[in-house]
Amino acid sequence: MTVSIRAVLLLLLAAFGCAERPAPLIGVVSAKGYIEAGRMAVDDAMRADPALRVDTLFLMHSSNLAADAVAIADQLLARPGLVGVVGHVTSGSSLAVSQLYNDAKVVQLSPTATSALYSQAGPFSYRMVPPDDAQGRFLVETLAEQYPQGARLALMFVNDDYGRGLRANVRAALDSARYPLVLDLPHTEEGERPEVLLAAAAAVRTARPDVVLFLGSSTSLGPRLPALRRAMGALPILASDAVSSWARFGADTVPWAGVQFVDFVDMTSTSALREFSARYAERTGVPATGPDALTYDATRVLLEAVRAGARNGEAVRAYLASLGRERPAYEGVTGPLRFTVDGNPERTYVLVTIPESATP
Amino acid sequence: MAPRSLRGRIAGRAAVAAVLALLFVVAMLLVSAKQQRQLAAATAAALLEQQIADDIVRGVMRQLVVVSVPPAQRAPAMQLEYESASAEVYERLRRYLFRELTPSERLMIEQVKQEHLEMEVAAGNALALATQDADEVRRTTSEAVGHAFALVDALDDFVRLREVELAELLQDQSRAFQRLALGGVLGVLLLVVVQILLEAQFVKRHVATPLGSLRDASVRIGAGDLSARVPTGYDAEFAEVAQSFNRMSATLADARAELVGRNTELSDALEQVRAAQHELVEAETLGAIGRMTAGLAHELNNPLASVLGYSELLASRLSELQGADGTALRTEFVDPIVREARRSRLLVRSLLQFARRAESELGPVSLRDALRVVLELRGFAFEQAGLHFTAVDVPDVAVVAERQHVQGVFLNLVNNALDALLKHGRGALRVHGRIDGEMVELCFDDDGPGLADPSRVFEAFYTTKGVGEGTGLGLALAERFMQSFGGSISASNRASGGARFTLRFVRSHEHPDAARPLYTPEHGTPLPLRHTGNGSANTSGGRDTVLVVEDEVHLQRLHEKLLARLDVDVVVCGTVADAQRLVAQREFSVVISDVKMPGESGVVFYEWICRERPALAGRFLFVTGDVGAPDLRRLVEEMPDAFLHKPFEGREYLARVGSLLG
Repeated sequence: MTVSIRAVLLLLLAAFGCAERPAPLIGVVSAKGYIEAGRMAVDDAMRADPALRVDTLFLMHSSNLAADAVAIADQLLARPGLVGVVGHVTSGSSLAVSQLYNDAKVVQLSPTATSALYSQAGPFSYRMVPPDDAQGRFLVETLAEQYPQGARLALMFVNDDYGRGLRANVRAALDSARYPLVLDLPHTEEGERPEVLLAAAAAVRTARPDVVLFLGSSTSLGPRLPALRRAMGALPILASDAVSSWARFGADTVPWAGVQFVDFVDMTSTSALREFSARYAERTGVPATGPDALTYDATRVLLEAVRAGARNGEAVRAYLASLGRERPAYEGVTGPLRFTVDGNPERTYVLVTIPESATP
Repeated sequence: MAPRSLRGRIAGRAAVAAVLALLFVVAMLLVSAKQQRQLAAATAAALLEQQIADDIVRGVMRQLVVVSVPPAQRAPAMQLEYESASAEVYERLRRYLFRELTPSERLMIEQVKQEHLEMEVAAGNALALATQDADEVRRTTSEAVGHAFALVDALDDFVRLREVELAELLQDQSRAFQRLALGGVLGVLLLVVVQILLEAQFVKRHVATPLGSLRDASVRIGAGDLSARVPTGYDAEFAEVAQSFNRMSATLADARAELVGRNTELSDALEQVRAAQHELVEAETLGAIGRMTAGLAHELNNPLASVLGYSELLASRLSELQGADGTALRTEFVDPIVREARRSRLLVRSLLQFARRAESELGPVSLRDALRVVLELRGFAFEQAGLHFTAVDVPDVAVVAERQHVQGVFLNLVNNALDALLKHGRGALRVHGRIDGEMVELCFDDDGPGLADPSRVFEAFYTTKGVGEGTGLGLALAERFMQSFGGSISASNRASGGARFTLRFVRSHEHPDAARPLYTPEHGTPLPLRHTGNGSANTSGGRDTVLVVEDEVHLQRLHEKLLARLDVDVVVCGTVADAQRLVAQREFSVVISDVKMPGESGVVFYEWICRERPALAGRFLFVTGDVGAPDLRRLVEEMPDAFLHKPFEGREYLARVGSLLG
């Protein structure tokens, strides 16, 4: 080998050796309210460990459209050093991009995706909440506690990955609960024409249910709730976890009072949640919700993985998988955090009733 | 380590080439198989996706069929059929989305899914509102159908996209196969070219180079360089050939060395033959004449001894007459006889001395003595011709030479000068010399006509003399002798006319053997006469008796006459046998014996005396004409005083015998 070739090789080696590797990057993709919880988590982590070397990128995304989710995922995956993503918000958007993240070996930790299908998305797909099959059983158990057998049940569901999955689990649980299903009405997440909303309310009235089981988000329940109240008065409404953000949608125009919904955390149940709520309210001016706390913990646990030495998605995945096993469970504001082999947390549900004060 | 065999190398290279070719073929097959697997997988994926698409369309149609049935005619089973179709479509869409898709493909499937979800929402509304508002039902149904069409269109777009991608894949595969084929051909060509280059290098290194070495060595050996060797560090076969070649060249070298040795021996032998030839020529020209002369001189010795002896006795008798007549008679008639007899004796002795072939042994030789012999031999010839032969300024030193050969050289030069001067009828030969460091130079200058070609005079058989006058070998022999002495001889013409031969000798610092004088001074007085009254008495008080052993009668009488002057009894006999018998019978004071006699020689007699009468051995006197005879040389060297040279001087004879008598 000639001297010149050796010199070139040494220069290349020196160049590669001296090239600064990019700091690990964590993306936070969430709705406007939740994303602030992510920022708060980053601030807290930096305050706790000023030497922590990590980059973060916050991208606003609340749409349930797959095209939007894929575009954001492409944007994130184009960044060097991406090791984990907190997001996306809904089951549909999370599922739409889960294959992209798995292909890129980037951990996706969704704060609120509950679709059972998400468990099959891949080894890099994690979430902060249990899958819908457990929530379906919880909803039917709640019905059983509050309504006698034979009570008429109207099922309204959003016809997407979230709603369809949850509906399937609810109907599976209903088969043994003996509640007659008098209405099974799908809807979309996006805004619908008023006549459709009125027609839906009329269909509910025609079905004469004893209770409405609403499987959708606050953005779809909110527009329907006034017509339902006008048509059915104080008809009990039991909603799924996606309604937990009701306060962010028409709190001053929608008669939310009395609506019950499933949530993953009770923001007043522990001192950590209360302290978080206080800090969050002080930081944002609005009260904290369960998804805020979940987004906060999701961001913190990924930052903790980087702090523990993870420099790529595989290392982050290994860190999450080791929680509660090779290392202690992560103690977040929402409680101890550990994951099953499917990437699901070992969590339970709480039932929340929107207080009367929420009525405008 | 033993060299590898060329056969083994070739087999190894063939194996490596075969393995490389096999690896290349395997690599091509693997690449081809990979391409085929990709194509098969793509085809299978396309078929599966087509199947999924068919299932989706079929499910959607089933759902639309249920929606299109009037509510009154709609059986409960249809609702289940609707749900089943919905679940099937959704499940197929999920299968799509969990496949490996590009973002654009994923978006298209998501679009299909979205259309399906919205179709279901519209259908659900139609089903739920069916009994309330026919127009709303128609509108929602139409909306569901619209979403179904959109779904089919989106799905069709997706399938077309996949078909395009499949076609591109097929095209890529085709191009890949073409590249593979081209690559295969190029690879084979490259392999062949590389193999050819490697084999050429191999042949050059393992075949051409050894052959070149062999060829070079052969050429060198062909040109006579038998030291040429072939390196043996090649493969076994060439190493073996090289070793055989080297052994052959070594054998050739040995054979040539032996041949050269033999040739040298032959050259030496030839030289010896030539020398022998020269010797023969010399013998023919000098030796044969010399031997004949020596034989003649020897035969002359006895009569000459008688003449000299009797003339000396006569001169003594005349001197003893005490009268003017006796003196006049002696002066007028006897002295010339004595003088001429002595000159004859000198001539005979010189001839004998020259003709005697002594052993060729280098040693100190007196230049003056050697020159004197030649002067005595040829001086008279010069005088007779009215020419002069002088030797002046000859250094009285010894030189490294062989005496007889030196005399031969001198004689040759003197004879040549005499011949040259005889043509002129006048002139002289002058010999002079000088010491030049460790060399002694001697020049022979004559006043003759000079040399016709001085550069050729030393060539054998070169002569300017007439036929029968010279052999042309004299000067050639002279040059050879001078070279054998470590000296040289050169010839030139003198500026003043005449020839000059210059001899250069190596000076010797040893003393030469004393040259026996060739003549005795002439006293001119009567021979001594011893008068004891009672004769010469021996130690026992009796008369001395001298035994003379001589076959010549005249010499017997001469011995008696001479011994009479010593007043002793003389007993004479002619043979050794008689002498032995006499010695055995009586006592003798002195024994005088000839050497060459009929029967046993005097030497045998002397040896007998030494054995039988050792006391008498010290009073034994040989009288011989040839003291240089080979059979006498040892005795002459051991006891030179026991020899008397015939013809002898009467005075010397009496002195020698007298001394033996004590």
